[in-house]
Amino acid sequence: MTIGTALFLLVNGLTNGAIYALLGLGIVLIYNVTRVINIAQGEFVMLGALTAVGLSTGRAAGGLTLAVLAGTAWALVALLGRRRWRWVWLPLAGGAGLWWLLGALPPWHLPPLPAALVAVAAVAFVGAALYRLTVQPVAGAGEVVFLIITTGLYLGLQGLGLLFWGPGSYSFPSVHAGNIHAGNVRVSYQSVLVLLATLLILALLWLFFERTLFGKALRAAAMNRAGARLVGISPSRAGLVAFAISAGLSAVAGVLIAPLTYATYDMGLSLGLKGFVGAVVGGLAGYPGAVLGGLAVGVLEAFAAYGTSAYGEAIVYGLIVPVLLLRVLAIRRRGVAP
Amino acid sequence: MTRSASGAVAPALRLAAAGLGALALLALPWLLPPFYANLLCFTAIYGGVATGLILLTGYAGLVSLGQAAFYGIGAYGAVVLAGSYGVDPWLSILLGALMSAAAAYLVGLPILRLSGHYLALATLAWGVVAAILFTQLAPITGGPNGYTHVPVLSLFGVAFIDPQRFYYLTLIFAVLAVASLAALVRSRAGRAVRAMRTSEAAAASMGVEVGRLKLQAFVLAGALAGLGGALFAYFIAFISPSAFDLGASIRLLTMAMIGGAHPLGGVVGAAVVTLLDDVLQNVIPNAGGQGGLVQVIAYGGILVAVMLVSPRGLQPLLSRLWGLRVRAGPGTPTDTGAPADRTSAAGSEGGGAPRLEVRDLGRRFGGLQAVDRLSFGLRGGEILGLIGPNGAGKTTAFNVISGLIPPSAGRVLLDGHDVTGRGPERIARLGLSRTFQNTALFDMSVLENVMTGCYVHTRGGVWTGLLGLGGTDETRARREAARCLARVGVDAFQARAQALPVGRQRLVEVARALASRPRVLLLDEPAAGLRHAEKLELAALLRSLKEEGLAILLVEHDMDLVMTVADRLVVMNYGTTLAEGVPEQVRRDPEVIRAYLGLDAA
Repeated sequence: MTIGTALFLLVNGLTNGAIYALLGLGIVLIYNVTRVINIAQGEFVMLGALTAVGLSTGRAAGGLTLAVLAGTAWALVALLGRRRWRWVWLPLAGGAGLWWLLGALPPWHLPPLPAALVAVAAVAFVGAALYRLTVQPVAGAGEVVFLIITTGLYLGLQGLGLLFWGPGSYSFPSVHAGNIHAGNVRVSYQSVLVLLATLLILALLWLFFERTLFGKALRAAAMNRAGARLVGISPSRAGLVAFAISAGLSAVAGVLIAPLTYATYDMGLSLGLKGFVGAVVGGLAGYPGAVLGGLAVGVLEAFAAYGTSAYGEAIVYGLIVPVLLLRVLAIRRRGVAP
Repeated sequence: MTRSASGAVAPALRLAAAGLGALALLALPWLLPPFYANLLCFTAIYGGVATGLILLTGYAGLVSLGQAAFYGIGAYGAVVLAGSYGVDPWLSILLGALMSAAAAYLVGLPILRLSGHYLALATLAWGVVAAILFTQLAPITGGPNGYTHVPVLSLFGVAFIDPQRFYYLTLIFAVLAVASLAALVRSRAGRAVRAMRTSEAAAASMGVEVGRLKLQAFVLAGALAGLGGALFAYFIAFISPSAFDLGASIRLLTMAMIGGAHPLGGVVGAAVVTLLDDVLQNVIPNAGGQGGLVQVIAYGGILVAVMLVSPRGLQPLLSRLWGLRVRAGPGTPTDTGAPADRTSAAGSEGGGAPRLEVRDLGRRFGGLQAVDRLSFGLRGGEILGLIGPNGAGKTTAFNVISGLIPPSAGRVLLDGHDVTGRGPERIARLGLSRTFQNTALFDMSVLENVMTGCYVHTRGGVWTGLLGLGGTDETRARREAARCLARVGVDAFQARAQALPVGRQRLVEVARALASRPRVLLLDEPAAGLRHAEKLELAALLRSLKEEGLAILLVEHDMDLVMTVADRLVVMNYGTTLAEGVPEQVRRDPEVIRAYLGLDAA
């Protein structure tokens, strides 16, 4: 392997790693606030990427359809929860109206940036709605129940992705095509954009958690649910926001990765698992840890794929087991009171 | 429903129903249109595989998202051995199952150290890796295009090709799986599996080797998956990696979740999913041109819905049809009077060497020294009270002595043998039993809870349980449990233990601890939640146990109780030993009064 190849692999790995880092951030955020391990995290990436593709190329805007469906269900659950039977027609009619509108509008051909923004907003909304519909009703249930629920969400969302977009793979135009040449290393502008965007998001998240009241409330809810409740922070609201931000982050990752790799309905699971490996490498609790872990996974994957192309994926997934074991053993050694 | 009134009729009715059911199962493929024989075969195959998953997920609480990998190993193992290496097809089915079991052993060995959702994620990763291997090992498996050289199963010239005949093979598989699970869950090993699901700590304190038992359950589920996979491969005569991917694992888990923790759960769940497949295919033919697409979305939805509506699946319903309860049985002494034989293996030798000795015991959690240089000795026929304000380190001391937490310093000796740092199950085997401050009763009937207490002095592992053997040990455990329950004055044998009032739960825990015939008994606040009369009964019980020569270590906040029953007291405060002596002496100790009542009172 020459230095040039190594550098190329490194840049490639860091770019993918930044995507895993965004996913890892979302996984950690949801885990910290709600104790849910979200198997469906990667599906938000898929929805974000393919919705942006759909909005810019005149294909299905599945994320919007899903947002309408989920929003209708959310409104219905809210009304039925308060026993306001008389108003049930309102969300039904509203949902049907929006559904009709989506179908009746001519195919979308938005420029990349607005398409990406709309897609991210829609996916963030879907994330919040899914929390309200599937996680909040069993808030007290054990971690295993949560895991099975998100497994169901994974399967359902992937099926919907196939329904909306079919088995094809799609590309999304990058904001600025072309490459930067530094010596004999070639770096695409999109790679630079991915890394810069990840840095920007990290900065924004830091500001949110450190400088805003709601960010601090979210951290409080993550540290101590009962205590947060006592000072007036609603855990279900915190969970809702965590899911929305997390789904939004993943959708951003999807929009960023789509120009580099093709977007397909089944891209979610492998991305989600790698994000999870990164998050666990980083300790599954801290945000900087999740980012570093994600980058590490990306780089490792790039070099593993160069060495043993067919089994590169298997090696990265297989890493989950030793990484989890090390983590559990570390906790046991530290000796936390049972 | 009054069980006693219907008791005489019920067995005959049940037998008749079972006979009719068996006939119906045998005749089914000929009663239905030929197409349905296919569905029956799939239901039986998936049902058997899901039955293994029920043991793993429903009873042992270990969620597997990688079960399709074992299913695939069984399928590929069998047909590749038979098709490429000329092994006899019937033998290849067994070998396929063995390969799955071996894989489950190797995979389970590391990952079963994880628990909860970490374990589920690790199994998911294993499943994904296995699916990649099925595709990549193309020279053996045929790669993504699948494996086609599947020979035909035949016996005495009868070929098992058409689904009507093949059905009987799958039926044998499913019935064996269900029957052995039904036998297992009622056995000693089955109770231990169910116990560790509720509380690993409590199960281990009853002598259950949690790690080993988990691995056995995992291997058993893997073997069933492998057997089902081999049958599946011979049935459809063509296999490709897509049948064993993550989607397949989730499908199997969906079946198990729909069925719930009941021996019939796997088959019922498989029937529901298989029928649903068929309905979806017919009602919405080729929606969007994608076959199988709507099913996928539906599985996802169903899995979420089952968790939201009934996390126990159909188990409550199935339990009504087939209760699987353990009866106290005839010949059970229910009189509270003098026990037939001693409850404890205590031995009445009073005095002499201390039975439990704690020397300079210490336990540190990070910066907190929870227990610091704790020392005492406890003889047979003695009750030692361990008291102190909240947070003094009493429960930590209990956990260290019983082996749940390793100490950071000091030694624990049982009958003069050093047991420091040994696991709770080994310490339990040496004759130490305990109760828990936050009652840790298992999710089963009161009688079964106390029978689990007999774990250390009965025998019978997973094999005994699967084959329905071990009757004499069961009878002995039942008698012992009934007697211990009589001693503590609880007679609601069949009630769900966790549904009892807290006071009763504590007494059941004491009975469970006694059922292990301990030489040393550790009681963590046994009187909390008891009414006055019950406390008096408890005091009488403790005294009579002491008369029998048992060594009792008692943590209790009820000072009246401690002062009247304890021979000596050790007072702890902030992890250290504040005072030690007979109750009268300790009661007057100014340091003790200060610790309990604050500075001024002294």
